[in-house]
Amino acid sequence: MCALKNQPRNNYFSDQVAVQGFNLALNKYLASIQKKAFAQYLSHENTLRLRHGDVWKHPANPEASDGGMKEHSVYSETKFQDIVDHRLELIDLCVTQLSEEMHRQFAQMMYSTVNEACNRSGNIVEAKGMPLTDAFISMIEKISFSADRNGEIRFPEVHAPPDLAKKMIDAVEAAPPEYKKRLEDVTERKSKEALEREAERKAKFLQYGEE
Amino acid sequence: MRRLLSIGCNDYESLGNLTGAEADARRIFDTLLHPDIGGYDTERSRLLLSPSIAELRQAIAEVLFESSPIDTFTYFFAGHGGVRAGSFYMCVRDSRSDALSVTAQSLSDIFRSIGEAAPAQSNLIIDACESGGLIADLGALLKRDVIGNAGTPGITLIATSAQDQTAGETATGGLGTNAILDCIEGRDFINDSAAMLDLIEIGRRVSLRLRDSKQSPVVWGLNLSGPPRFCRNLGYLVDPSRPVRELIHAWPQVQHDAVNKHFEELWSIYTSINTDWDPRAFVTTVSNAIDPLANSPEVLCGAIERMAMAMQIRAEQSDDPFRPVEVCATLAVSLLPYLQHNSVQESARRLISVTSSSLVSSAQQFLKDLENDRYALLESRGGGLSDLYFLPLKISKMLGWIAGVGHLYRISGSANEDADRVFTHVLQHMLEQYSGSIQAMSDDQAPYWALALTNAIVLGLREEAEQLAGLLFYSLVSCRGQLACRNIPPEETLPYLIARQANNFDAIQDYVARPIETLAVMMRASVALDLAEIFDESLWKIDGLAFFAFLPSKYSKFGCDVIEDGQNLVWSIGQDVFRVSDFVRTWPDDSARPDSVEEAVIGIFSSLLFPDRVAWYCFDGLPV
Repeated sequence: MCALKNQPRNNYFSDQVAVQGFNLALNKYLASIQKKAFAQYLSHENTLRLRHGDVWKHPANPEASDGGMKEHSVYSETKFQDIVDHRLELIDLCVTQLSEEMHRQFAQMMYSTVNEACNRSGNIVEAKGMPLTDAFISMIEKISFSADRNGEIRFPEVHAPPDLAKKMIDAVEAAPPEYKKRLEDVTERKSKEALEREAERKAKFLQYGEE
Repeated sequence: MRRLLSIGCNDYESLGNLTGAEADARRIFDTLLHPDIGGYDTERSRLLLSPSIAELRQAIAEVLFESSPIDTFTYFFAGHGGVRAGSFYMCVRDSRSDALSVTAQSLSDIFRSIGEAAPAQSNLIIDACESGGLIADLGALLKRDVIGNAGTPGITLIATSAQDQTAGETATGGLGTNAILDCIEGRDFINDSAAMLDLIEIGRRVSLRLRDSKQSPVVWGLNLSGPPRFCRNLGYLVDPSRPVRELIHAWPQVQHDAVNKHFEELWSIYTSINTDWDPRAFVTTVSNAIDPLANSPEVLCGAIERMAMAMQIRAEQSDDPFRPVEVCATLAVSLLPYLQHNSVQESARRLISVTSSSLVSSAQQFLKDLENDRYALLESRGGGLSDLYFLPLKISKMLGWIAGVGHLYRISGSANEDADRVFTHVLQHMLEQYSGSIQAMSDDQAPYWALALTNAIVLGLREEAEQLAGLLFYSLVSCRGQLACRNIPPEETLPYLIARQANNFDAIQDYVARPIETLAVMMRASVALDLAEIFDESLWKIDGLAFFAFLPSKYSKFGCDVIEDGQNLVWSIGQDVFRVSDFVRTWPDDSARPDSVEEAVIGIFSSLLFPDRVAWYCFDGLPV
């Protein structure tokens, strides 16, 4: 049929299939970069993917956080003239811009979620006016270590701004032997507690590790 | 047997009355029954004025199914139309807007009846408000299970008012009907090359006429069954006393069989012209359909020209103004193997003429768009970064096609100032506004660069040609000649660009062209432009690069997917070529040339449509 054209703009020698193919490749490329960035915060086994709805409920564990969907959106702007000038570096610029912004939003969400959980449980160390070494040991005291099913201890990760992290490491390294002994004792006790908890967990099964 | 059913409805029991519909139906009836114009059967044709739905259905049954087989069936309706649940209905006297399915005539039922009665050709003219709504129906209607025994797609339809519009009425009748009658009665010129007209030709003309009237006519049809036979062409000089039936020449059964056998494929390419354009699939389907007609060249030409008529109208629906050009050029390419017949040469000349004038218009449209929007060549639908790859390809295509028309006129021994002027302006615009994107990106661009550079040289645009050649050679050397290959998958174009930016192609080697034909084009152009010594200075930067030229032994197969006869000549920088002169010296002077003007022109079309072949003869006459 031949209705007269009323499209607002002509599209010369366009290959929509090819354009879609390019855009799909760009999306995949961005996704792979984003995946690497997110892996810094979450291990694969701690990642749950949902297909329907928007929140996880834990009916057998009311204390567990429900989690939920949080929307992240970023956009990148490219000037027509830059395309016409054939600036190939636009690809890097665009990918970097998008992935850094996604990374930033994800990190922000992670820390605010952790912050909310700590505030809710009161699991907070007030470090104001306290030496860094004491604050560090108080922080370790507050954290429960975990042990995996093979009995391997998973030590906590410390996320801190780079300058604070450096100060903390320097302070702990320069601390007197008594402090280091105290830190070792706390770590050992925490590890032992983690192993005990793991043993208790396994004991809840009818049997564990025997065919 | 030619039969007409003409219906006009002024009086409605539950819808608003109209004033001119009955007059329109009567005028169409009188004109088409005139023995010197339509020649429709006076006894079996029917005129219905404000009928009830029962009367209309009875008339359809009588006209279509009583007595002898029907050669041509024409259905005209003027009155109210309506769309319900995606179906189009024609309203008659007792139709109710809340019960259209049982009180009005659906278009799909008409199609089914036509399918059952199986006239050789059927024409439907609908001049009604909301008749544009029948667009939604057509996709479902034109399937074999609906058309049934009609077999060949011999149905043409014109609807002269779009959805949500009212069919304009004037003191002398509906705008659409007036426009159609002007064509039938010879007041509006269609052509002077055929004794009979097809409704689709009339529809095309009516579309142009009504463009400014705020109506959007729908013209649809893939009528490949026999020659045009809707009505006599009063613009064709023939003895006016000859009755219409003598002017209709039946085509042999082999034509019906060929079209019928390839009905699904032809229908498929027809419907996808304005969306998923694939010239290779198109030419393959058309070639398969016409090949059985090789022994009847006149019939073969008729079939191609019927296709051209329908396909071009379909192509005009695309948002790419070059689509009708490509469609016509592709049909011309399918004639390439049969050019030894005089009638095919004549037909090819007509197609070439349509293609070239359409090409000049499309180029002028592009120039206009470019003047209004300097980014007119960028993708309008979510292109984004993809244009970093595709824009250079579009630039080469644009320059190649527009240069092609210049070559075409020169080969034909004529000049066309419009063609030369538009090429000059487009080239200058490209160099001024798009110079950054004038890039040798893919080896698919080689034939376009060849045509553009040679046309610029012939037109005396030396400065522009030097600039173009310089930009291309620089981009080629910058990426060390690692151009994308011709069949690079779309999803690999991003990795290719990333590799190109890093100038490290290790990860994308499968999609780098090797050898390339673009360098051979550059070298030949450099000689004509006296740039060879400048190019020589940079050849060390592409040390090791292999390049080639394919020269066919004859051009009758130049449109084939794989051209079997010919020679692939290959050279390597740093092995047998250290200077441009080493290449030029070994270029064969005795390579084959096209056998005729038509073959040469269609050869250029082939290289534009299928850019894995360069029409090297476009360099003929330039300094070597």
